[in-house]
Amino acid sequence: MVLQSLVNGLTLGSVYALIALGYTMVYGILELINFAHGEIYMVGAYIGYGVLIMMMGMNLHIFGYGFTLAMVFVITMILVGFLGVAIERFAYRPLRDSPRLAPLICAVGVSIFLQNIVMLICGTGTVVYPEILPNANFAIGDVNLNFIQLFIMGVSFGTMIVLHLFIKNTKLGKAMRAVAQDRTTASLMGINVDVIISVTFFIGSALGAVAGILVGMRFDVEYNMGYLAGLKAFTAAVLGGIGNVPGAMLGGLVLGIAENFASIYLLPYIGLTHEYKDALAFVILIIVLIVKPSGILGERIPEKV
Amino acid sequence: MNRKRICGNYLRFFAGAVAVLTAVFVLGCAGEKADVIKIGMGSPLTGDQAKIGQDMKNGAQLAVDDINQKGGVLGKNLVLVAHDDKHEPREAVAIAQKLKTDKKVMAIVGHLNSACSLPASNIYHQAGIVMISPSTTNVTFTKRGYRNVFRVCTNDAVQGQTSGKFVYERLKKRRIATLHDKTAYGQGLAKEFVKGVKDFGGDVILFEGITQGDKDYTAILTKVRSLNPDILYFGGMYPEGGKLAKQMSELGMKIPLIGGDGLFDSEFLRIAGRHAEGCMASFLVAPKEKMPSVADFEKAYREKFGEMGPYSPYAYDAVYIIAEAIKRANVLDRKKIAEEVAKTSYNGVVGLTMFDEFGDTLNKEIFFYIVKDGKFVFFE
Repeated sequence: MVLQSLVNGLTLGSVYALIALGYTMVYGILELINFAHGEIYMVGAYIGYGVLIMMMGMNLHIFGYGFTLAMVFVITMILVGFLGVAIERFAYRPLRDSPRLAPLICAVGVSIFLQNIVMLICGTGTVVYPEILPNANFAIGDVNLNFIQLFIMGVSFGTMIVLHLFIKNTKLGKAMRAVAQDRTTASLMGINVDVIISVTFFIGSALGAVAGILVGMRFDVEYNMGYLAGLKAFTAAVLGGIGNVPGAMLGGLVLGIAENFASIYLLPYIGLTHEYKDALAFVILIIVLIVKPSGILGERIPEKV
Repeated sequence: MNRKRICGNYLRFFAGAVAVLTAVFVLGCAGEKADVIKIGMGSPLTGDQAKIGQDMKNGAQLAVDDINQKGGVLGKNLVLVAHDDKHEPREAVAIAQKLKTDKKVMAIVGHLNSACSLPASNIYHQAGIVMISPSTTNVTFTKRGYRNVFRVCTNDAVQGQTSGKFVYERLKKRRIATLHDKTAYGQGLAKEFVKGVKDFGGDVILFEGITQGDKDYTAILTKVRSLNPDILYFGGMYPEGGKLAKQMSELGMKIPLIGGDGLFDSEFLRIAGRHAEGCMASFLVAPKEKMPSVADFEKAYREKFGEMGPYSPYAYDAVYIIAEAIKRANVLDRKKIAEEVAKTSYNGVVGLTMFDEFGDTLNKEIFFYIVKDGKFVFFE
């Protein structure tokens, strides 16, 4: 059961990591906690479904389901990325020089807005992705690996590796790191800060969309799925060190594994049943903020002259 | 402006407001049809259980339309006043308050979920309105001494214990794991099921709750899997049941999933997809192959509303039972109507309905269905 919990935890954790990256990147450059990000993840799940149905309707699956799936991811990432850019442009940019509380409350407002708009358009029913992936099970000893779990881990890790290389090796990535470090100086160096911020939102939202599609494919899509997932991913980002990209990845995986292990091993020992596993994330959040607010890998602190 | 002008302005505004209000009042009152008999209803019309709630409402509406076509009741037309309780107990209570104050409401068909019917019934009992639920199976619904509370469906003591017997004797399963959704219905049903299993000597190796609205059940299912049961019983509704079926498949669990009437809906099949294959559910109505009245009803329902839901026929019969009771009482008095309902002997879509002294129907048959080729099929 231990290994199976580990597998479940990594699958869950890699999704948390993808969403947490959105939180951490935005915090890194704007010092804003984008509470609307959980809803971006939810919107991504819905849009992914829509794109998939459209593509299947156009009989594009004759090119192979792999191609269709790849296109679904790419198109959804682009659409949701632009949604994130639009949100930044119209909701957060006007408040960029306001006291920190203003954009925070605005983010909550955007979150409520997105959730309700989706509820009005798509209804409150459960949306089920058509089954594209083979339902293959690999039994290795006590562990049962399903294809979907491997797929989720593969796509998540692949995406995170690409992101890491992007931030480290490209000029745009360097510009993002510069803006995160010191916005004013970066603009003095000739970096267009507004563009970089938009790019950051684009990437963060696109990652959230990927997470949404993955969860949609594994479970299903509901209009209220963004709330809890967003809060837990935020916890993961704080756990790993908010503002720190590898930290978000680590925090997500740790939280996913911890949730699974705790619900089977820890909770019964303190007399609670596994439904309290959601509370675990919030207990971790409180402990981290009290004991080590900078998280596991520490916050990226701008150097002061 | 001088003082006279200002007073004049206020006066004109005031007069205009009075005129508008009077018009609205008059038009509003004129809008309500002269003489109708209202039947109130509460069921989830939005939310994740909206489908069965709508199906129940449609079943009742079909009955109302049929009765009105044949001349109504005591010369008046029936009107169904259906409200959305979102399967939330608080909403159900609010709806009950609303319905009891409407003097034209003579009876209630509803609610759908046990968690809603139980608190709402307290309010209806206070007001003396008769309440017939098409789907509330929780045992305590009829055990509180309320003489105005009835149900056309049987209760979970019957459903759960019959299921326990079925699992032990027919399916020959000995090690049984049980999950429930912590609601009045799901947990109650699961408890009765466990009672039934234990009576026969089966071994209940797990009894735990899951949270409605949650998505990821792989943790608890991993625990279930590690205990090596022969079968998993789930007391709960189809949104969670569908997810369980899917995730059991993901974890490579080969044991069957069996549940109660909460699983018996096409939504379960849709949510679980092909992982629903082999899942079983108990239900309270015979399959249409065995009961021609069900087949006829299904046809009539399909013409108006499409595919019927599990509780549509029950709602239909409930409305007819109320109409018959009103005819027998021959007076629009809530208390008299409730007394007449108790004397019901009505042969309808779901069979012969007669009530015992608690309000339970004497029609206590349970049928078992299994999913084959993506459809619920009668388990022979």
